[in-house]
Amino acid sequence: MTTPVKDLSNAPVVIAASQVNKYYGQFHALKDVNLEVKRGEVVVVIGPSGSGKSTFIRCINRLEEHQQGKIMVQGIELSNDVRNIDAIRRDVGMVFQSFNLFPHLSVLQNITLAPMRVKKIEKSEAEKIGRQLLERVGIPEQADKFPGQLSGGQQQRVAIARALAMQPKIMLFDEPTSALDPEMIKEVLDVMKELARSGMTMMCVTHEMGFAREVADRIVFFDKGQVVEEATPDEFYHHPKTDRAKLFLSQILGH
Amino acid sequence: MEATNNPPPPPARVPTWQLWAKENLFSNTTNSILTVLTGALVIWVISSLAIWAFTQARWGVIPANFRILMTGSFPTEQLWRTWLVLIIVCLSSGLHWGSLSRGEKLPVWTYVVGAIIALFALVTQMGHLSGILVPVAVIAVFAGYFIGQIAIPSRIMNIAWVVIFFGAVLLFTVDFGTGGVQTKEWGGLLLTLMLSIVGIVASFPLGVALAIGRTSNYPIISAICTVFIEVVRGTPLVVVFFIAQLFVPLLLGGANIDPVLRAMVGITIFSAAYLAENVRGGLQSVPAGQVEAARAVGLTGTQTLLLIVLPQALKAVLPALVGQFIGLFKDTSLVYIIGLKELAGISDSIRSNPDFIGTAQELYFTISVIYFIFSYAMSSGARNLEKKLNTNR
Repeated sequence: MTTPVKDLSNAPVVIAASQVNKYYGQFHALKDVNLEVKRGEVVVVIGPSGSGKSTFIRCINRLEEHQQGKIMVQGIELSNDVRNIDAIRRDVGMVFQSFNLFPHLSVLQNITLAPMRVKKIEKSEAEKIGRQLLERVGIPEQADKFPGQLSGGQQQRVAIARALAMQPKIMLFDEPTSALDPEMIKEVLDVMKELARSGMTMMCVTHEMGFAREVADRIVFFDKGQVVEEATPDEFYHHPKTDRAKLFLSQILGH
Repeated sequence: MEATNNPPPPPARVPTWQLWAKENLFSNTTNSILTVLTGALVIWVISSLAIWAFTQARWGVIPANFRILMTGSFPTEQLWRTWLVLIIVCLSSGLHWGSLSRGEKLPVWTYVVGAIIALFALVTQMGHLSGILVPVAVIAVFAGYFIGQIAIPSRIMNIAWVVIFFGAVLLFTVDFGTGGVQTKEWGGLLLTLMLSIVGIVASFPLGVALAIGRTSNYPIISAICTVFIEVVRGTPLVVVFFIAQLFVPLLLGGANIDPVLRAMVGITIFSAAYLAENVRGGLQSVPAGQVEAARAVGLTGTQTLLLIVLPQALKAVLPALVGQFIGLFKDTSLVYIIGLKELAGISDSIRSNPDFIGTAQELYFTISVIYFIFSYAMSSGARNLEKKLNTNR
């Protein structure tokens, strides 16, 4: 598989993290993390569990708070200013490992809730957008069911549609396929690949190497709260520079 | 092996009552012994009750005092107010029921129950007008059902109930030129229902607010709510009534505050504290991921609470809440302590009449049947709601 030809040299930086530090009590979860993501770029974040990769992408829409350093999203700094946080969250969609669909709302209501309540879009308009998005993720027939009636793969696709309904500029994926049965992983990855090819700026925490090789522009390897290595997928998988990355790759490829 | 499109059907099994009894009642020796013993106990209890009910009981006390059981010392010439409210409530119940069950036929049992109630009223003539007005109320339910099915959106009924509630309170008090009614004249089932409805309707939002307050991130709000909840929960309801009776006038400058209102305040505060703890359990049962997902799509904290967390929390604790409301309904009987004559307490007044001495069994049996009817209606209503809210079918 060839890396898609994408010229990012002139693209503006949409996520800029510099010297980010985060602590959980005494535990130093993120250590001086520096990372830039350009518009249209697809960045895959990998690393052993507990390495801080999920914590880092959760800092980007302020689900976690960083204590030191600076995170700029679309030119807005994440601070304690609620207006900034709200503005950033409107532009950043997120997909979670455990889907986190709202179980008391139908699939369509899950998708239309935020556009109607946050963007104040008319119900009929929001439902039209919602049905189009369900078409895009391949499950238009499930619109009126409840999340509990869907398979894991279908739920995760609804979650992607829910995030897309706010027309975000950036999508964050926090291990979107880790809670899925093997036969359902592909249907979710297919949706994510389509999204990547459409030019969406994406940051994905995932171990799906096929996905990373096919659509990622860059791999960021986290260990012990630090960015240890950054490289293109080919370089990273075939010629890792650091010992920690080599060890990690041998462990996930070894079985 | 030959592939077939039709898998073999499950083995045929004709359900008969003999088979059912063998499997469920006499499956082994222990089970058989238990069946015989409990059967004997049930027969003994029912037959003793039946012998008492049909040979010894003096049921005359019930029709003779039916008005008092229902409305206490509500002035007789003002009873039209209660009849009016009853018929409006029956009509609205029918409308609401009909609007919620579009295209469904009424189950047969409702006709049977309606006919029995109407016939019973016609035959016994407990009050001078009840023979006509009770059948009218029954007809109002059915008429409402059929109108509601075609013409009324159920959302309107939610607003209608609020109007009816305040209208009823007005009707039960205000003087229209022919003399008003004072709340101290409310009694019997009427007082029980007014205390319960006000208690449930007022304690629900207060309890939810206390639960949210207790889980709040603001330490002062959380502390105030916690202290309130713990103090009220640490106090018996009877004491709450005394406090409401003795201290509320003291706090409000010795003003002459209506004793029924004081009882309502007591019940509301007491119930809200318990409700708050139930709701708090529900709030904690909602996974953190729900809040994260809501915030991530841009909902504000308040929107997340009202649209995502609270609906799930309340659904999770619905059975507990209904259990508590049934408890509240029955606990209103404790207001006899502060001299109010609700359904359970009114039997004292009836028995103090020399004509009805020694009729405690008949009275309390009837009263418990009335309590049961309302409690059972609440719990079966809640079961239906649970079924409706279940989104995992």
